[in-house]
Amino acid sequence: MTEGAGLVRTRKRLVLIGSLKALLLFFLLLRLADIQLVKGARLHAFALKQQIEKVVLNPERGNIYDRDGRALAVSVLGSSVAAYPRLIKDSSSTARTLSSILEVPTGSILADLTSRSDFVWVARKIEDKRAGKIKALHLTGIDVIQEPTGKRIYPKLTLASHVLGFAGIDEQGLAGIEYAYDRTLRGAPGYLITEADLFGRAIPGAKGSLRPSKSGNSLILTLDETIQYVAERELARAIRKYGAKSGTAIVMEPRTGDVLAFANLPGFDCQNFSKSRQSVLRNRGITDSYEPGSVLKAVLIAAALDKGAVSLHDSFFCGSSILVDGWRIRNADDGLDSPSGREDLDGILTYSYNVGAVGVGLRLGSQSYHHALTRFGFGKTTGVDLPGEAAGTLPSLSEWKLCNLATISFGHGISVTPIQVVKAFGIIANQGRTMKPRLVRALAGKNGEAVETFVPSPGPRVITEETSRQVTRMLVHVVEKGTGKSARVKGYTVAGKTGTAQVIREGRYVPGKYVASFVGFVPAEAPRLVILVKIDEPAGVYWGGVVAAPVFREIATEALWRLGVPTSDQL
Amino acid sequence: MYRPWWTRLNFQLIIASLLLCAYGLVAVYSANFRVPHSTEFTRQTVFFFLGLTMFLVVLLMDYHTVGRLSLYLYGINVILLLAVMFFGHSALGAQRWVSLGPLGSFQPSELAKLFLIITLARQLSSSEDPRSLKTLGLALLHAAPPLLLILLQPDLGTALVLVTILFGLLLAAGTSPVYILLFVVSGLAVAPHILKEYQVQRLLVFLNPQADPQGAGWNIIQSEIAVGCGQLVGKGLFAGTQAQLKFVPEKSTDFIFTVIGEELGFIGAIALLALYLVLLWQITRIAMEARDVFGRLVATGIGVMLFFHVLVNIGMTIGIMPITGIPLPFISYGGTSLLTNMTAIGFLLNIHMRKDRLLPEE
Repeated sequence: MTEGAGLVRTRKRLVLIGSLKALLLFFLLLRLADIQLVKGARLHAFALKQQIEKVVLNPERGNIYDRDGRALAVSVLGSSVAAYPRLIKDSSSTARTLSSILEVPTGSILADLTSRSDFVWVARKIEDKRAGKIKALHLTGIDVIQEPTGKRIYPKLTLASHVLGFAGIDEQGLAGIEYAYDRTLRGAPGYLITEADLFGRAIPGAKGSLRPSKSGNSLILTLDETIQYVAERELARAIRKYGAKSGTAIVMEPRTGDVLAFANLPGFDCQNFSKSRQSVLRNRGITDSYEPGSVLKAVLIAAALDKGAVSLHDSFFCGSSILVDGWRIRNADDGLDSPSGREDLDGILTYSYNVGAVGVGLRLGSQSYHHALTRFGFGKTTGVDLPGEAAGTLPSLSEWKLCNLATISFGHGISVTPIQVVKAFGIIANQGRTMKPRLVRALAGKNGEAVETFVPSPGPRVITEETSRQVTRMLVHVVEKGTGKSARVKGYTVAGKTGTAQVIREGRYVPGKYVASFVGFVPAEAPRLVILVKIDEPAGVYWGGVVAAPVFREIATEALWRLGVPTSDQL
Repeated sequence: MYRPWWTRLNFQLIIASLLLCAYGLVAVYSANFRVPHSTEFTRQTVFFFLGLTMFLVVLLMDYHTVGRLSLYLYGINVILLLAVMFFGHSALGAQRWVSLGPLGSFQPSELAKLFLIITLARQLSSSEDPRSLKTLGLALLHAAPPLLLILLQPDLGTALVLVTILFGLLLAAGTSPVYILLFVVSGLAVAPHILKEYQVQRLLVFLNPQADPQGAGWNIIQSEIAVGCGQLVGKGLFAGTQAQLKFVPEKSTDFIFTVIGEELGFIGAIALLALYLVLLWQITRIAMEARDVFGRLVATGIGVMLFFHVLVNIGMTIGIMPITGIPLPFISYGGTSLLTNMTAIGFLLNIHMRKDRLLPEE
C-alpha cells in the first residue's frame, strides 16, 4: 500500500474521531452549565451550611460567696468526651472501652459513635479522673475537650440550697440566686465566626470575626455561712424532735435588710437537684403562704397605737369568748386565762388573748387596720431578690366584713409568707422604718476585685419611733413572762411573739395540723437580728412558744456570739 | 520555496498550550493558597521550564528519527516500568514513582503514554494492511506489556488511557470498527474479574454517589458542590472555600478543576475548555495535514490522549465520570505529566513543520 492511499483512507477516520470528541465535549459543557448555572445557587447554600461555624465563646460564670467571701457556688472547668464518627475505625471496641470508663451502657455510646453526624458529644462534664483515663488512651476519633462552660460546684452541698438555687448542664441559672442573677453571673458570651473545615475545626488564618467573651461577676451574698449553718442545724433538730413535716428559719439584720440566714428544710443537693422532688426545690420561705396567727397581734397593736386609736392604759374585754357578727371567737386553749377578764395592750400581747385583740381591732376599724397591714407589707411581695415570691392574701377592703376585721386582728383569715413577717417585724425593730430584705450586698469581679457595692436604702416610715419602742417593750414582756419564755437568750433582752395557726389546704382548715411559729428580735434595746422560725405540722405539741421559740433561742445565741453583739447589760 | 523553520510553527498550538500552562500554574498556586509551606507551585514552575527545554529539543529533531528509534523507545518504556516495580516507592497505595533525588519523583507511567503513541504509530504505519486481523493482533501484543505493568502498579487510570490510545490509533489506522467493538465488549466482560473490588466500586460510585455519601461518594458530592458554588463568575481567585477547606481532596492534582470551577465559575471553566478546544482543533488539523501516516497517527494518538484526560478528569469532578485519578493536562500538579504533555506538543509542532517536505530530510 502506498503512503498516499493510507493518508486518504485514514482521513475519514480522523473526521469520525474529531466528531466524537466534539460530541463528548458538548456533554461536558452541558453538565457544567447544569450544576453551575442551574443548580449553583442551591449548592452554594448547602456549602455555606456545612462550612460556616459560629463558635460561641461562653464566658466564665461568676461565683457566689457568703458575706465574708466564703465560697458557696463555684465553677470548675468541665471536660467532655466528643467523638468524630467519620474517623472512628472500630466503633464497637471503642464503645466498649468508653463504656467501662464512663459507666454508661455500651449500646448508647455505640449509637453515638455510629451516628451520621461529623461530631457528637458522648458525655458532658465528667469527672477529671475519668477524663484523664480516656485522654490517656488516645482513641482514634475520640477527643476529650475542655469545655468553655464549666461545671457548677456547690462546695457546701445542701447548705442554703433554696437561696442558691441551681444551674443546668450549660451553667444556666434555673432557680434561686443562680436564676435571679443569671445575667450578672453569666457575663456576656463572645462569638467567633469562622470558616470550619470538614471536621468543624476552625481554619487557621481564615477570615473570621471575634468578639471576646466577658466573664460574669461574682456575687457577695448577705448570708453568713456560719449563721446559715446554725439555722439549718437547729431547724433540723426541732423538726426531728417534734416530728414536723418541714420548717423555715430566716435571720435578717433590721438595720440593713441583710438576710444572714435563710433556711428551708428539707433541703436538697444543689448539684444533683434533679434527684429531688419538685416540692422540695421550692423556697417555701417566699413561695408558701400561711395564716400567721397571733404573730399578727403585734402589728395590730402597733397600728392601733400609732393611729392613736388606743392608748397604753386602755383595757379591753378578755373573757373566754366574744360574739362578733354572729361568729363566736374564743381565746386559745392554752390554759392562760385572763384572771380579771380585762387586759391592757401589754397583757393582750403578752398572753396572746384573741378576744382582747378583737376588741383592739374593732376600736381601730377596718379601714385603718387594712391600711396599716398594707403599709407593713402584707398582700404584696417584699421584693427580696429571689424568684417566685408570693404575695400572700390580704382580702381587699371592700370584702372586709366585721368578722374579717375580727379574725384578722388575731392573724386568721389572712395569709402571709415567712419573709413578709420578717419584714414586718423588721419595721418594729428598725424604729418604724421599712427595710427591703436583700440577699446580695456586692458584686465582685473575676479576681475578687469589687465591682459594685449595694447600699441598703431605707424605705418609708410606717410607725413612729415612739410606737416602735412601746410595741418592743410589750414584745419583751411576751418573752419575759408570756407565751415566748422559751425564746429567752442569756444576757440579751429578746422581743418576740409566738404564733399558732391551723394549716390551710385548698382553702380549708386541716384538722389537727398546725403551723407553729415564733418571730422576734434581739437585743431589744438596739436590735441586730430579726429571726423567724416556722415549723410546719409538728406531731403532738404545736404551740409556737413550745416548738418554735427554742429554735429562735439557739439560733440567736450563736448568731449574737458570731457577730460579737454586746450583751444587754453591757449597753 | 524555502521558508525559515520558525515561520512554519503552529502559533495557535503554541499559544494555547502556553496559556494552559499559565492557567495551570495559577490553579496550583490557588490550590495551595492555604497550605502552609507548600512547595508545589515552585516545583511545578521548575518542571514547566524543564518541559520548555524538552519541547525545544523535540522540536529540533525530525520526528522520523524518533520513529526509527521506536524499538529502543519501546525497550526504555518497559525497562522504566519494570524499574518502578523493583525500585519504585509507593504512595496512596500504589507504586508509581521512581525517586529522582532533589528533583522529586518521576512517574514512568506518564511517559509510557507518549512512548506507546510513538512506537504503536510506527508499527501501525509500517503495516502492510492495517485492516487485517494480523495488524490488530500485533498491535494488541505491542500494547500488552506496558499495559500489564501499569495495571500491576496498580494504576487503573493510566491503564485506561493506554487502552484508549490503543483504540484511538487502531481506529485512525483503519481497523474495522467491528473488531474494536468486539474487543471493547470482551474487555468489559473480563474487567470485573481482573479488577479488585474497591476498584470496581470506585468506578461505579459516580452513578449514584448518594448511596455512600460519607465514603466513596464523598469526593464526588463535595466536588460537585464546590463546582456548583462557582456559579457564573466564581468566588474569585484564591477565594474558593469548599476546595480550600479540605472538603475536596487531592485539590491540586486530581481535583484541580474543582478549584477552578469554584473560584472562576462557569466563565473560567468555559475559558479553560475553549483553550482545550483550540488545542484539539489544531491537533486534528496537524493530523489531517501530516505528510505521512506515521505523523498522522502520532498526532491523532496525542490528540486522543489529551482529550481523554480532559474528558475523564473534568467529568469526574462534575460527577459524570468515574474517579480514576488521571490528571488534567497542563493544569494538574505533577512534573512528569507536564513534561510529557509539553514534549507531546513539541512532537506535534515537529510534525506540522515538516508537512510540506520542504525541510531537508536527514
